Amino acid sequence: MMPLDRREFLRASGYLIVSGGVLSLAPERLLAQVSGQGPYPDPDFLQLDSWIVIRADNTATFFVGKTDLGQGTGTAFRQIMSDELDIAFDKTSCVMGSTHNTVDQGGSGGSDALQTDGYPMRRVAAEARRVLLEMASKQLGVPVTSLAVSDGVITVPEGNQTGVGSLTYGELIGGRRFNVTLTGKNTDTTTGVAPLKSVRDMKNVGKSPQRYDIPPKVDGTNKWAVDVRLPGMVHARNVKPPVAGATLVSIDEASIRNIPGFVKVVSKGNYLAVVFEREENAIRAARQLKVEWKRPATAPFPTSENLFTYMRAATPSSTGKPIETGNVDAALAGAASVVEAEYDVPFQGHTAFGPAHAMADPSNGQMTIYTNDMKSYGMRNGVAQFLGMPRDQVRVIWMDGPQGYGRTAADDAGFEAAYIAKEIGRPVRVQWSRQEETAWDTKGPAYAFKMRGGLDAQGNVVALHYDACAADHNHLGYNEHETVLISQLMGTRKSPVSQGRASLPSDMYAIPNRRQTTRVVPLPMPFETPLRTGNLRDPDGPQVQFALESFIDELAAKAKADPVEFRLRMLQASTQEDSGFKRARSIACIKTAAAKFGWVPRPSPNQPDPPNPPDQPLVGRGIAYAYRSQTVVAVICEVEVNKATGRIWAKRIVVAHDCGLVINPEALIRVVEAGTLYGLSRALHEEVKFDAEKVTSVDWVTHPTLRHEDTPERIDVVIVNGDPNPNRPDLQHYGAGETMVKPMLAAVANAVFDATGVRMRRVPFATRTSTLA
Amino acid sequence: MANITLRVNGRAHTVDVEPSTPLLYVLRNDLELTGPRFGCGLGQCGACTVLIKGEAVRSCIRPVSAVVNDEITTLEGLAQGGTLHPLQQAWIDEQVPQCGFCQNGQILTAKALLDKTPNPTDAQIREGMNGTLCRCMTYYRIQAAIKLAARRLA
Repeated sequence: MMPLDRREFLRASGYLIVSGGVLSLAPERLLAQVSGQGPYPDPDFLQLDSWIVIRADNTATFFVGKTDLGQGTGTAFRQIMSDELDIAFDKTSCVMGSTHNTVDQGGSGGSDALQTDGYPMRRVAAEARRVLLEMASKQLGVPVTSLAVSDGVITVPEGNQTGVGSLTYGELIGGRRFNVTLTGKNTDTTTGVAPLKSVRDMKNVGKSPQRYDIPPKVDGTNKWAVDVRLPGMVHARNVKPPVAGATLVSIDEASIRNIPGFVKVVSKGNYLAVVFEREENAIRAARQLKVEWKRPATAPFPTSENLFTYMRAATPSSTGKPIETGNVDAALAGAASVVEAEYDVPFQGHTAFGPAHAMADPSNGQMTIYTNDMKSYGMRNGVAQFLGMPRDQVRVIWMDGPQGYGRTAADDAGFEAAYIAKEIGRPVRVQWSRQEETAWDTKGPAYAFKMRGGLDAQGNVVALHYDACAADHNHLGYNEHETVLISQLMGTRKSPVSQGRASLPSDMYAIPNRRQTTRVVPLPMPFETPLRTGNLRDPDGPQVQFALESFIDELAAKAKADPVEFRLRMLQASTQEDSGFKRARSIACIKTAAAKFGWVPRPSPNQPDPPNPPDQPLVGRGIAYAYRSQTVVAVICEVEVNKATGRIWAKRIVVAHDCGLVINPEALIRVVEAGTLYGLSRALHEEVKFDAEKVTSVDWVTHPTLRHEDTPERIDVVIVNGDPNPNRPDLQHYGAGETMVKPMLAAVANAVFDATGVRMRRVPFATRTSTLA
Repeated sequence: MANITLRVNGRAHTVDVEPSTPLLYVLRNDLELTGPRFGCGLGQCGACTVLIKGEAVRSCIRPVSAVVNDEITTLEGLAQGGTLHPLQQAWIDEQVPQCGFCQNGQILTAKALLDKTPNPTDAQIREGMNGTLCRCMTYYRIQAAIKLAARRLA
């Protein structure tokens, strides 16, 4: 076994983002560690040493290619890996998501951290345990089957006839390499030969150790991507076109030469930035710079007021293949009653709490980018292509940042910082302004829906036609060098564009005749537009599920049925595909939510007897449900609606959440609480507004968000295990980052209808509650 | 440019900057106090909050020239003698943060609130905190942590 020089290892592994746990190093030392010379080849995912390092003091560090956006995934990784390795949780630490020292697991996205990437993590940790047991067996002269292991100590149990003694993992391998080769086609399939543990043998899973990232975020010691400062660095600010599609004609550089610390005006095509020694001067210069822009000949988009009219009339750029079971037209023709409704969801922005930012360092002919990019590996690949550099000369160091949730999968600032750093040969920090971020970040696509449904004489749903139209032409890829904004502004036109999609709802309702039609429509200007679409926390689930679950509620109201009972009837009506699994878990979540809420069956709207006193708010409750991949969520929301002011307050929320095996219940509950309120914010407040040439939602006044005053009085998160075989030893762990957002918009709308009898068919609701007064 | 002396977390610092420079950039770039963060530069979100004379102040719109004689406290200065402030401890015990980027402003705004209103009602918490935004939507736990800290401080 080759000895591993500790200093060499520290340099190779960076240790920049070890936070918490036994390896907590002073921040200044962390930054000093990353001044490696490069190049930076990827760690080999088929080497066990790339994943796990065990030190002589019997502590372990796990190196994983994921990023934690603040949901506590790093803590969960430590839990599952320490369980498989059989080492105490508090003797472990986790290094995440930097391209030169963690294997490429793709960073974050799709809520797949545990569902997909957790499994190779478990398998490599199990393999390390197996290898250590074999080493101990040889040294102690005792068969592996006679050894016991707990908390990183391998012992020969008392009374064993073949030998005595014990060895720690640290004694066996501390500071040395495993040199064990794994197998697998890619990181997702990476494995050794050791089997995974049964759920019942996992000691840390299901417990709630404190998230290690929280204390430094609270005591002020955390170092974020925004905090990186390097010798010789400069500050850059972008100057965006004043209207979408404007062409840069001329720049009057003299207009900012009076500002101290001028470094450079950088421009290419319609990309423009100013670079200064001090940050405040870069900010001032970006405002002061005189630039002549030429407006485009035609309007880049309709106004937000006219968006849905435009979308419904527009020629599609792509049409989904219609999906039909049964015969919808015949069923509607024969239905006892037919309900029709249209629903509209506007563009909603990420509007990250901290605008885009990155630092790029061009030292030693390499390019190092310090970023909160959730897909750091994608940024590495994209920047290498964008700059024409070999991939292993680009290193992306992931650090904490504000509210990723999709925006940082198409992260512009890292590309911009790298471009400017290469131009001027100095470390460059790019920071977007609030107005720039809110106007120009990536947007969740707008949707226009038309729903038709038929009921038979008994109030059963006999037909459903779902028709969705999405303004999702040219959906951005992940950190693509051709589609990041700087690339578009410099004139790159990816062809064909990355066509978006109009998605289908996620439900297990058995409806005998069902048709689903979808189409994507383009806005007039597909490039260099602030209405760029990208993945937003569940890319289009909230829109789609708003339409479906609102309409199901309309059908229930038409049938004068209780909304919970109405849904359960459709879930229990059939034993077709997936009957034993997702359908069972759907039923379990809806029943659990109703029980926790204390749901009393009755049709909507609420008609209290005696009637509500006029000075009291109207009260209603609404349910909606969704799944995402294998995770199922049912939400019940109770609202108070003030008739005089139109204010909607979600007073109480119950969430029943089934994501399979739960690693850290307390952390999960908080993720679900916050994600649910994020859905509430999108339901009540969020809309990107624009005139025919620019986005006019540019800050927290013009783009409202949920606030403290909107917070429910009570949120109950109930963790459900609706698996038909709930105690099975291989209970899977599914994702939890996004599903709860999906049903929330409809749950609120259904509650408002229950309270008032007025149906919210256009998101957001808070701006249109005059209809309630 | 001018020499300006600031008192931050009990220490005096002299910096050579334009007097109109917002305090935030001097704290972050010259004094390397990175607890306050840039969120909007407009005084709308609270990420940049510091305490000045007991008030929660938005340092992104406060020129350094306006605070030369004032004692400024940043998140780094909230702990006393190595012990976290009860609000910070409550934040940890309630496991408040998701991404955590806004929590500087949440904690310091809550500090100013509790200093004035030691035992706030739910309505007073909502009102006092309403201008401090969180886009991960941790409001529910923030409010729980404020109540927990208020109980412990009582």
